[in-house]
Amino acid sequence: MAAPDDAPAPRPAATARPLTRVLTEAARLVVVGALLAAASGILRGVPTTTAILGETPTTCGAPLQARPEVAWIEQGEARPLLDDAQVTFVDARPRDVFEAGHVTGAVNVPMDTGAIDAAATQWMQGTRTIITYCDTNGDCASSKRLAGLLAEAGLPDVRVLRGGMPAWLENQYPAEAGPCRACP
Amino acid sequence: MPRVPVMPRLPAKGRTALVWGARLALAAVFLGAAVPKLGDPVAFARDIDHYHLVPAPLLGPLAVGLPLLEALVGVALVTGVHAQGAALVALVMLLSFAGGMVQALARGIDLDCGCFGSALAARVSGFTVARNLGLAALCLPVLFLRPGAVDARPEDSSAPPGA
Repeated sequence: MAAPDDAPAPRPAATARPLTRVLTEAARLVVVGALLAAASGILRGVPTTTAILGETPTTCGAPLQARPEVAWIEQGEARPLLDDAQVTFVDARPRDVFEAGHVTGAVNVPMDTGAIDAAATQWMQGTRTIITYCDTNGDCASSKRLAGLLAEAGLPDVRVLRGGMPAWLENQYPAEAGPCRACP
Repeated sequence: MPRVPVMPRLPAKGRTALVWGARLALAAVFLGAAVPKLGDPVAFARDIDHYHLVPAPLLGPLAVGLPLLEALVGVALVTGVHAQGAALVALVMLLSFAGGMVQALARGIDLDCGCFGSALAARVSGFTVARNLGLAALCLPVLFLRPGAVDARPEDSSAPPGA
């Protein structure tokens, strides 16, 4: 029997429900990904919490894997060095945060752009030890990057202050507010 | 008022080029992001942990699963098998990552984004958020455009047939 002329034409199967098709494709990919992850977990193992967090018991995160010459320095170890003229504390935080409060006598080399200028490294060339710090609510990315750049520039002994400024203040070690007095 | 969307007005060749370009660019990014993470899942798990979003027991499984899903999405986009589904997964992932970055910035968390594992360290910033949103926008042509398809719709679908 012929269909009446005014009957609606059937929609092509390929375009009938594009949203359903896309969702089905996405679901398949996620399921395959989960199966692959399960297989990988069985064959290669899944990183344990201890392995992941074992080296990060404090607020500062992972060590500088790419730069083994840059070492951590603990708060108690860093405090006596504040009185040593051959040691420079370098604050990696933005200028306004630095001015709100910083380690006494520290210089500010903000890591806003992820780079440092030649003047800063040249100014620090005569320094025996450099200690970088930032706010460590995370993995100390700024102080680590700054330390890496300073080590790359040829400075001999660069360390990253574990715990950064928050721990320094918690320990009630000397701090001051205001603009940088000795910035390069 | 004629209901003519902007995208379908592109010529068929332009649409094909746009979809292919978006697919290849996204595939390159996803495969490039997956490989270093697959090589060092512990480091990637630490990167995830720095966002302070994921409970510790989920870090390991996520560090194994996410790069595999990224790799799968990359392969699907290159081969064209389930490409639209892959674009949808990519879109959701990119927007989720951007959301994670925004919350980190809002909470003052200073961290590397971990976007490309240890291969390309980049501190989370407005730039990394914008980069993710740009990549998310690249998913849209793959999702909504049919490469080479001829747009047979009349310019004004409200006009009566034969008018």
